[in-house]
Amino acid sequence: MIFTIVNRGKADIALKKAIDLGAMGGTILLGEGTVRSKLLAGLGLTKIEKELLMIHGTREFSEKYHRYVKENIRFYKRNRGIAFSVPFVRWSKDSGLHRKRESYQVMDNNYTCISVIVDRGNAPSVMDAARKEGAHGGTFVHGHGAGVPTDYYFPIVVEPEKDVILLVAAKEKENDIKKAITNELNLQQAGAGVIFSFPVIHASGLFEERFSERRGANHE
Amino acid sequence: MSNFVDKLKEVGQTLLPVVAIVLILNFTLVDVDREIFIRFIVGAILLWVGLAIFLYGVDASMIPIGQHMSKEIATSKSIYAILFLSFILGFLITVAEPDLLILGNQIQDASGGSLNSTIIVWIVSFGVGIMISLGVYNMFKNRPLNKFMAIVYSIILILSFLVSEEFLAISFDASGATTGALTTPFILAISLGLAKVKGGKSSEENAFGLVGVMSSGPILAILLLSILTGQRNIQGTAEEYVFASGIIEPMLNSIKHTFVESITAVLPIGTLFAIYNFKKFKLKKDELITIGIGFIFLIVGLSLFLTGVNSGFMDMGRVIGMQLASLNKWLLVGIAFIIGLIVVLVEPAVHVLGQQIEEVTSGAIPDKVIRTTLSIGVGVAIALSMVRIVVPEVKLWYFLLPGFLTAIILSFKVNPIFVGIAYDAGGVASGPMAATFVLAFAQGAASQIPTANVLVDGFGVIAMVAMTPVLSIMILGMLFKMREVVEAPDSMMLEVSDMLVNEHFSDYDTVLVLIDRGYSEQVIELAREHGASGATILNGRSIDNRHRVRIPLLNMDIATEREVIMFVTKNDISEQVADVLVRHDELIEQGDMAVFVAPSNIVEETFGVFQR
Repeated sequence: MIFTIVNRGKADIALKKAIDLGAMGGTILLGEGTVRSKLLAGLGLTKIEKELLMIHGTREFSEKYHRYVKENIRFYKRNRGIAFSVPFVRWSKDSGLHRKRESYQVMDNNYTCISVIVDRGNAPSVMDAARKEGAHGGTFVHGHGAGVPTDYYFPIVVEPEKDVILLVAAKEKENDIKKAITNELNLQQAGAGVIFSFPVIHASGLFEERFSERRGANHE
Repeated sequence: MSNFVDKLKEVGQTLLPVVAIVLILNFTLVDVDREIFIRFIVGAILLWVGLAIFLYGVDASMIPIGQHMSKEIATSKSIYAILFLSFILGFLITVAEPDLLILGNQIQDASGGSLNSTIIVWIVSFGVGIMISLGVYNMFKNRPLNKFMAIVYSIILILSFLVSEEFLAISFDASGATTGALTTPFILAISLGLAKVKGGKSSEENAFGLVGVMSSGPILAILLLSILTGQRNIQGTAEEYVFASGIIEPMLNSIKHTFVESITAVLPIGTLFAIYNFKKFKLKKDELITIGIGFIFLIVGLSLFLTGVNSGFMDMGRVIGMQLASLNKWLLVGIAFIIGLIVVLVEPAVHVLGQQIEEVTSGAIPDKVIRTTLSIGVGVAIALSMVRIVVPEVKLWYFLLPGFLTAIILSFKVNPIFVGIAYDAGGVASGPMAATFVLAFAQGAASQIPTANVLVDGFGVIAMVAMTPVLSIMILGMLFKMREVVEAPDSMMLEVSDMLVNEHFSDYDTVLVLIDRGYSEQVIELAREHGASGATILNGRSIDNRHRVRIPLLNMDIATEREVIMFVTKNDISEQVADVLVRHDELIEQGDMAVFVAPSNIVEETFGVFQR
């Protein structure tokens, strides 16, 4: 599954391109990012509207997509967006039988995707905690938990509001970032939130890469 | 900051065509005084910056307050508390609306003083309060909005036979005045908040409609007032209009005035929120600061916006109307159409509505389509208003009656979400731009046509602007209903193999289920039966190249609304859940479900609740 995070309104363009490259289709979620500036945060101007595009495809497609993105979209320009691939398997009726159960191996990539689910409104604190440990930005999507019936006058079903945060970070920083978020938001408490992470097999537009690409460009 | 720049860009894009058409008219058909021209340019800049700041303020203050207040309404344990709080909100937001006071004064003058403007404002606000609380009750009772609105408009129709045409027009104008720059975004936020708290399958359609319900309040109130007091005719003619002179002075006067108006308009809701925050919400300091700053943005933005509109756009609108009317009557109708087409996009509430539709449908109903539909609606409204001014035989109800009748009939055919959006659209389109620029344009035109009456024909323009968007969005709903699925040729139906990793990553998996909107409850229930706990649901939209959804008449592809359901569980559970789901033929066929699994590394200590 390839995740592409771009500014609001640009996901349709990215999806169209992906379809031209051979994707079957994609799903777009509305997300938000935050800016780092202290001054703007004080003014309440922290929100950046983002879109999160999810495309399913093969490893080969993922390589093709990232190559295209690197060559044409030039994510290394600030805040254009990022793309990364997480090895989600499309489950079919016989997937269970074929699933490889080999021991854990270090994969040939330097990144990990950290995902945090917390109550609505806590996403900015998660990103702040992650930034302190060297993560560069993140995106969150508003979601909700499964409904719980209530005893108010009208029998409404309350759906606890949640934020799902996705952060892509260098692998060596993974544990520090996770620890910082856990402590900052007291996620050890039951129900406060969960953290998990996925392997990332391809990535483009990340801060670290952007930095080296830019440096490369300067050398030319 | 980029968000603010985006807002500037967004507002700029909608304002530019308005400035362009005025400039073109100025260089070709219309000869405008230099002072008015300069004031228009300065006004446009004020409007541009003001509206961007204002919209930012709406995001930062009105929307969160709307959400907190609506939660308070929905989680009441007594029906009286629900009805009372909805009433108070509707009443307070209306009673301070500056446009309504202006209208009240106009009616007071026109009635020769027998109707007092304060009483008019109070009665209209009372009407809004009652309608809001009925609308909220209706929603919580799960009664469909189309029936509710059909009943409301039937009552309006019956009452309208008992009043004069002037009062019919005034009542619709009162409705337009009530759905102002501040009230509409706030009620939209309340509507969205209530729908979110209520949740469930119909939360999407519940998110809209309250503005529509609200705008019927003033109509009913004024019609009843006319019937009960026996006030049938309005007398007198409009005063001789005097153009402001100078450039700086009228603007400075206006800004003082609008600043006070803006504060007055914000005050009641701000106070109510402060009381509730002190007693109940007790929000965190950060959030309060954001809301407070939002209020400042709101007031500053609204003052700048209204100053720009009042001192820059009104005289310009009037001059253009006057000169075009004396030039050629049918040219006037044509240009009125174009002006209507582009002016509506500058209405503040149009931006807010578009944003909410995008949020609620995750972009599946594109903002662009809604705006285009609104544009056409208002273009037609203003063109027809000009026809009414030019041809004295044409009466207001010739358009209003068949228009609303068709809209009501269509409301039983379209998807429920369009019913709410359509009724809201009427209130959203009749905002401050309609009340100033467009109205001045119409009055200017009427002043040059001997058979027209500036006062009578002026009233009624807003009524048209409030009616046509309802109809045009309903028609859009009908077009969306005609959607058809285009299957891709077989050659494209390759099944994609996977992005397999051989490495086994951990003992846990993340399961992602992608399914059409409305099926998540079923999926979660199945997953729970097989050992999963805690799921998170995200809303999105999907485009599938294998079967594209098209609207034939618009020749446009649309996205399907989807839900993404996330579980994080141990391998054995995730595999079992995934196995059960992929064998559920009903969900796969009807909901076009796809299940994905990825190995995940969890942070043990945060998973306490998931283990239990």
